[in-house]
Amino acid sequence: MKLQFPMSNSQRWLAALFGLAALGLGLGSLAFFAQPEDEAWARIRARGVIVVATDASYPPFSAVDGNGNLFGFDIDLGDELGRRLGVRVDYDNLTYDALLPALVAGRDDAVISAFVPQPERLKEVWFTRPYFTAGTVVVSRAEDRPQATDDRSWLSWANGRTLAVEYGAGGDVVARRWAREAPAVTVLAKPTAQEALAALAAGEAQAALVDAVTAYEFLKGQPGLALAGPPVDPEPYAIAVSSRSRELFAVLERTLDEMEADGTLTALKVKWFGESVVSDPSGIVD
Amino acid sequence: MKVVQRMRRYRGWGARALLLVLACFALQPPPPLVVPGPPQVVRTQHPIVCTHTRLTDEVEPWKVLRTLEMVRAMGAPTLVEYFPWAYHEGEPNQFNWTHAEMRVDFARHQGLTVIARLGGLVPAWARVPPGGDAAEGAQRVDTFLPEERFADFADYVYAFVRHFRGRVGHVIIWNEPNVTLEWGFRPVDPGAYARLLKMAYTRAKAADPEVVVLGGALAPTLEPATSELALNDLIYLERLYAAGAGAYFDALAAHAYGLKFPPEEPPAPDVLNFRRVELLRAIMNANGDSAKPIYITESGWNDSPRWTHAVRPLARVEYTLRAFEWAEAHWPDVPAVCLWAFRYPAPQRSYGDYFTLVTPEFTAKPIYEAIRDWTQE
Repeated sequence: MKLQFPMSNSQRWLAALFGLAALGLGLGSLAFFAQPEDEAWARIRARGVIVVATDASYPPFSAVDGNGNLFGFDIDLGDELGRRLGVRVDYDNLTYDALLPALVAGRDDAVISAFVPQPERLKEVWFTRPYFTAGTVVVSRAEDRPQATDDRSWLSWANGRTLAVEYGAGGDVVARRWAREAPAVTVLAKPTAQEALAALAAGEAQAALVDAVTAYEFLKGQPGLALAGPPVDPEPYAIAVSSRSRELFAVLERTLDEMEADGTLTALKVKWFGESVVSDPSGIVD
Repeated sequence: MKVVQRMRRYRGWGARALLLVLACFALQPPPPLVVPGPPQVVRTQHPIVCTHTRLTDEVEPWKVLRTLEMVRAMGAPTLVEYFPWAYHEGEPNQFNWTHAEMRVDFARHQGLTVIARLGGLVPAWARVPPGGDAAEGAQRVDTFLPEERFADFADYVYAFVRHFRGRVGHVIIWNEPNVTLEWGFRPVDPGAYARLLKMAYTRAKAADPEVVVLGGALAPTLEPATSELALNDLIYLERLYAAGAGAYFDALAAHAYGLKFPPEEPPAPDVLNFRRVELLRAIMNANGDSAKPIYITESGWNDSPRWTHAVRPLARVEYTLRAFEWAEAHWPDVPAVCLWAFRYPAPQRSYGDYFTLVTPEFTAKPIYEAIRDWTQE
């Protein structure tokens, strides 16, 4: 027996629309699962070489030594990734502006260069999980750290304290904001971050708000001082790959996870930034 | 038939659901009413202070207003604002000035003078010659303007100047035409820009004979004539005069970045620094344009910790204030020094963020406070 459903013209249109939508969904799914091969990853495996773009003007992440050789945390990270992937790493030393265009144009396979993820570029570029967090940190005497580090806790901790900052830098912006919100915050501006930290060490201030990398370097020789918590203005660094490099992206993510799990990433951080980058007796610093 | 009957039965429910949705929309609070308040006056001891705002992509009116209030409070009586062609003439001869109106009127309400930067960002329909395939235009880089469309750009300039007559008295024709990126990724061409400038100037004056037309807006660069990226701004300006452009601008727009140099650093043809403007002035003088002013429509120092051309934040503040002082003391023909950039609507997450005076969240940076304190002394 044949079933019949009498339909008006409008119902036929509706049915046709539903049909088209279903067809569109089907084709879309097909397109999703039939992504073209990751050419970069195929090339890396075939040649045994991964080309990494880096702006070697930013020590200690990436820089050039007196003999013209690249060195730094990012270079060590790239070398270790290459070792685990079983490929050689060739570095392409570019200016900062040229890093992403080189990636998008297919000249390079990845960017490892203290690069802050740019969500608005996700159509062209994907970013791995952060492998390092820079930004503005608070340094204080080890015994004077706050119990918690949410916004309210920072404010109440800072109230009544003198905060040393580098004039005009990110820490100064944060400290001035706190001073507007908490009446007893005093901002002590110094010409450089090092001088702000020295003011803390000399007892002129109870805390210093400075960039993380300068703080890590300073803390190497100051056992009485410590990070007071995670960055107040975090700046994550991640590896960038082309959004066409799906497999390479997955491989790098997995390898970073492995390096985190087996302690290699931590060891690299300690090598370049000292123990303070990972030390956290109170459990506040992540 | 049963299906039809069932659909009819549910029609009532559908109507009720629709009513419920409409009621929910009706209950939604209305968008915040942005009232600019009483007209303001800029109070400043240094009227040379100017800044380049970036309100083009700022959607919310309260953010536009807040930005302009902060510009006024900083003591800057003048600002440069960008009015991209593609945003205002998406289809030929169909102009939409809604957002531009808001920016201009809010600025005037704060007592601010607007210098309008026109050009760049060519609408897709104008990226191909008349009769060409618009779809092909959409694929082209958005700074690509074929010569056959120069007249269309001049018409846009005419429409803008006529619409804002009495409200906007200064217009900049194009931006950094000596850079390949800004010239449709083609080799830069002073002769072609001279022709574009002539057409735009003529149409601007037809719309408002009093409007001040600023030409040039050249990027400071040392790139030689063989470069694929750009052409040295000094060479470009000389060629511009050679192409007869001198008669078609009332003032030169110049970009003067200090990079790592203090503002007093003497100029030299092979150095990019703040006083490079003096070399542009020398070329103007040699071409009989000594009476024309120079508006510095982009300027400033950058304090990114990772850009090789940046300085430390303290130096940035000191250099910026000293640059204003230098211009006031030595450059009587420079009415405005405009700092790039006041604020971005969203962070760039790159060194560009370190050119700004105010964060996207409207937190004033120390450099903003230093300039404000200086203008209010």
